[in-house]
Amino acid sequence: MKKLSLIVLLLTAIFSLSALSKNEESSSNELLVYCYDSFASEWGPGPAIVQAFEEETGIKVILQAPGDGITVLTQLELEKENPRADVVVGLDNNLVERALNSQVLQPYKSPLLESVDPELILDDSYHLIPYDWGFFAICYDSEKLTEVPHSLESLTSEIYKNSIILMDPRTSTPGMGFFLWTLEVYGDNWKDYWKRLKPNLLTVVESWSTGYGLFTSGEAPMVLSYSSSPAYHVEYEGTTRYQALIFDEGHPVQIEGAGLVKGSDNLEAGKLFLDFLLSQTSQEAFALSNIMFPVIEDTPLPESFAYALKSDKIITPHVDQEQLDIAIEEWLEIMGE
Amino acid sequence: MNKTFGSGLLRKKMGLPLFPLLLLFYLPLFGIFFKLFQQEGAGAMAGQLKELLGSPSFLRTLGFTISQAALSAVFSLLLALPGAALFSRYDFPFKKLILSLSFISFILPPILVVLAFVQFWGNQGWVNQFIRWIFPQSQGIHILYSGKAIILAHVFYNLPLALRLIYDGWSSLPHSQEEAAYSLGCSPLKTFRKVIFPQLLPSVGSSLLLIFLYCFLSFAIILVLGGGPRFSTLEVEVYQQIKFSNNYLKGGMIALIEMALGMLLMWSYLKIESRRTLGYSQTLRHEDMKPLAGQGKWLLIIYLLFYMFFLAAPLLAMISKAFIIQRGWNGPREFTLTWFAALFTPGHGMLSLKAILTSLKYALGSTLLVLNISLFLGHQMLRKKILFPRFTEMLILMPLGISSVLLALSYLRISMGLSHNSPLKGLLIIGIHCIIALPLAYRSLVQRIHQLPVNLTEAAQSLGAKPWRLFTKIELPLLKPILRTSALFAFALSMGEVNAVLILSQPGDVTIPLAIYRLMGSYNFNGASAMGTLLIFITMAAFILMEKRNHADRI
Amino acid sequence: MLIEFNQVRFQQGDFILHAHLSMPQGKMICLLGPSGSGKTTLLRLLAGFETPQQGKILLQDRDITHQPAWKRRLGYLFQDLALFPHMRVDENICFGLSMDNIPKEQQKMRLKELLTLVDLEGYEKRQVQQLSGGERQRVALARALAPNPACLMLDEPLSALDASVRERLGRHIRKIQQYQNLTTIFVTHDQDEAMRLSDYIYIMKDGEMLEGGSPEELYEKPVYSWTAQFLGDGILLPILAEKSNKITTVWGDFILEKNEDIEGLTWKKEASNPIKKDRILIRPQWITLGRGNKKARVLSREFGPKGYRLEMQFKDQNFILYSQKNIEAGQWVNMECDKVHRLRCL
Repeated sequence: MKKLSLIVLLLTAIFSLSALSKNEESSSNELLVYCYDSFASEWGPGPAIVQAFEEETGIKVILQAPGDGITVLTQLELEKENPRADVVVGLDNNLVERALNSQVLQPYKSPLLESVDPELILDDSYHLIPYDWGFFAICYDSEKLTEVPHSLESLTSEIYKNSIILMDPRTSTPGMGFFLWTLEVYGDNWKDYWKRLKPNLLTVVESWSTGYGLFTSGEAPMVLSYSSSPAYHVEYEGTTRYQALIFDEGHPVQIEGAGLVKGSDNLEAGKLFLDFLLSQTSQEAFALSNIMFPVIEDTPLPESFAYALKSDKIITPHVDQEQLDIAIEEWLEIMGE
Repeated sequence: MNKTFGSGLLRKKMGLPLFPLLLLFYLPLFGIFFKLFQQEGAGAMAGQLKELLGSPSFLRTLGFTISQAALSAVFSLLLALPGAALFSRYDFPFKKLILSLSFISFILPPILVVLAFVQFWGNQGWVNQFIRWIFPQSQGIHILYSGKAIILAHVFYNLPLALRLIYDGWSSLPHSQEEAAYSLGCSPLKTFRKVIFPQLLPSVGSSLLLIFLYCFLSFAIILVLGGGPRFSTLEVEVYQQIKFSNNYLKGGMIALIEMALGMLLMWSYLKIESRRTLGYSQTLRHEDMKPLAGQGKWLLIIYLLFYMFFLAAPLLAMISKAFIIQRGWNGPREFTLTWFAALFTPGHGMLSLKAILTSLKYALGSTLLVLNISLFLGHQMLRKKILFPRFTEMLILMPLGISSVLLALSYLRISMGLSHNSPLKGLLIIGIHCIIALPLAYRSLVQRIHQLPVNLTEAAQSLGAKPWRLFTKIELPLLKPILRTSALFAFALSMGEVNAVLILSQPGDVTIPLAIYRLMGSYNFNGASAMGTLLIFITMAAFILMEKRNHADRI
Repeated sequence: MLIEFNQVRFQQGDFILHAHLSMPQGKMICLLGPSGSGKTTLLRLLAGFETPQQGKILLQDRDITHQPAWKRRLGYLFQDLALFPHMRVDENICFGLSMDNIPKEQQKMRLKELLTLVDLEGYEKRQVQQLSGGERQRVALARALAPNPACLMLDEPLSALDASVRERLGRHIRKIQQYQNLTTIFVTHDQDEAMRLSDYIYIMKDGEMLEGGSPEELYEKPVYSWTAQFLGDGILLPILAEKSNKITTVWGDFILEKNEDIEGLTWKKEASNPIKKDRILIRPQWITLGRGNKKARVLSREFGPKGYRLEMQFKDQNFILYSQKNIEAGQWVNMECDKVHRLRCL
């Protein structure tokens, strides 16, 4: 009996606590921002940006990072009826369609978007505005690889046997980016391309972190990453050993964006925050801590970004979810052979 | 509590013991499936199930998931058996330490184990560097990125567990049985086959099943070390369907199939366990151990060398990464503490220190909760009459067989009900860590309670000890060693867990594994290794502390 | 009567115990029977470790059937002693006292008293693992005695000890029991021990009390043939014919002084026994060798401290006899008996 009453007591305590904490939420000088984990990370851009924003505006920002970008969107969808967040940061171009369909955002056209390259505008309806971007690209270890590939096609050359680390499109954003890249470039012949590419793959890993970790451990000379990745090694390790490759076919981009959550009762502060993401302070932080290109064109870049290459051909994939599911099934068949 | 012991059935109950699990595990899970049912309807769910079970590619994945798990379990067992034989016969220094290393593999996030493996077995790993140093012309061995590597990694994870479980079973067999067999003219091998092995079957069976379950839900290891989607498991499918295709129906149904299989396994596990003879419950006393000498000594040394090479060396390789810096292009590798220093520089707001404290906070909290709940459950299950005892036990063990993606999602749903800075989120983290550690902590405790001589409690009762004092004066002191072991286990699991923390942590709360992930996400792999090294050291420290206390208690 | 079992029925799996008996105060009472006869179960019911499905257990007219064990205040000495391994000798002995929240000073006095009683002065601070078998036994005894229990129960208390310790300790327990006038119930399967130590014996068989009485009564005048055989050697002869109090057997005719009436005692399986042939009992002590006209043959002979142990055969009956005379195997001897007892067959 004692135990039971203890449990009951505990439950009451829990509920009263949660009721209490709900009450304090409605303070208007507080902005709740959902973001993906590495944005909020102490090694990511989040903390610096938030600090600068708070100093400038006096609005308190709470960063809430429940996981990767997809988890953030999932949480927004789950909370649709009763939204809590004011701003969401870190939905990329792969998630735009889903985010728009699930109607969790409201549009805001920041005046600062004028200095953004039109190609980088994520969404014509301005539900999501871009803040940084990068090219998916193959990076290589210049110590190991003397003859470098210059196209997707040349990746299939026999000299690169067991030399490439890719990510699984089913579990990783860069993995999906690369998969869509091949779909776009090769059209109906993509399966054939993958069959030729397969002998050169050392492994296809579940996440970018693991893949890049294998790469820097010297397991393979090439890895799927971003064209800006080498900048990190220059900036923080002082080495130019790792370099990115620009391919003739052009590159797909990842554009990361932020938006106002539909139903937010703190619109003004939210808009201020979105504007602030496009300010020079934030844009520089994205370059330094996210190792991605800023969207505002004249943002001064650190010298290390000389090693962050840009392609002049941007590839925009056009595949709907259903086709994609089928393609992935087929891809699995090929990989499983 | 009512003192009349009326007709049996009236007093039997099953709700109460399950209450904590209901709250922390079944309700969240039920929520997901209920939502699915609301949105899709039963027809669509059944249709999806049918489609899955008719799809060749799904069946192939299922087949591979099962076969790799089975192979991993069998290999772990085969390698553990000789060790258990030697360990249960001879006493030697650090035996306890080695046995308790069975926790280490649990605390490491898979991503770190992968890196450790690459560092050790990889193309540029220690093994290959050594081979090339001896035979400069050699290509080295290529064991990673193949089916073999999956088994290798799974055996790495599970060998210590198998060794521990079989050792426990073996050392409770009286030596006299073996000697009796010898005196009857039975050769050692035959004695093993005819006398020992049949009695080991329960521990062999349960370790096989446990390992199978772990490998069944394995995910990162298989994709990375297996070389890619050639080897795919159900868990990867769940991940893809829920996260990338946004197809909750399909993901949920695959998870349901996983759960059904998990339940089946749990059921058979309990069935095997219940056959464990409770008669021989005395553990081997010190005097029964043979002194280390002769042939046995050499066999033991060989086995220990193998064990160290196989288990400790990859971890050392990972740890070494935390202490090495290579300057410039092709500069020499130097010993350094830079990576550790970087973790604690004020530039990052001393977040690493905060991470350690946060990790400790959650780990201690969930350890306390695990101990309380498992004692409560153990008491309920053994001392009270429970309806459908085996079914109830299965429900307690169920968290072992659940898809982590689904569990994370179910907690995500709960966390939505809480405000963003609610302190309850911390409690939820503690809760979910507790749920993950509970099944095994509970099992080991229950087994120990089973072994407690009933006489002792009866003696105390006849001397007038009320239930509460019986518990505090007799049961608790006698259970101390196993409680410490369970505590360590829960502590280690919580220290290493990252999924729940990711979803539920409050703003600014970082744990060690979370820091590892974030460091990796920011290209800082040496820093991640340093963090991982800290994780190992802290857990080792906790372990040594516990062992010391246990030792002190015995004297 | 101190303890009463009133139509108590207890079932556990296939085993059923039925008890309806009472035990007097201040006596040494023995529950004797083969293993599986339910003697330990009876003890455990009294101690409160098991609860009967039917019936009542009364302690000094108080119904304790559903009282939990820890409220009964009855001492129990376990077969394997159940000393608490994590406590010292003094902690073990004072355990029951501390449950009653008795002040430390009084505990110490009681401890001293008990240690003297069981001859273990100076053992207070020892670990129980360091003690010999007999010492442990005495610690367990002291522990059970410490809270002054209304009655003491001993479950095969001596079975694990070797012969000499066993006898000494048995007498020790008996002395303590008599000295304190403590009602003591002990369980054993050893007939000699039971007869030597107890005031009163209950014979248990197949979950039921078969009969009870003082050791002398039970040995010389048991009701059932089964009891007679279980308690010692003797010749059991089938009754060939019976007319009022005259009985005919192969030995000859006997006149029984009075019809041994055994009303009230019926045993559950008696009725179903198909070969219901009553017998007479002749104990070896009732036989005199070298007299009379009945001839028996000596089958074997052994020498021992009690004299010669002769294995004899009379008609189709083999029996054991102790004699001071040395008679070689194969010889025929005359014998005579001066007493017989009529048994109900079981």
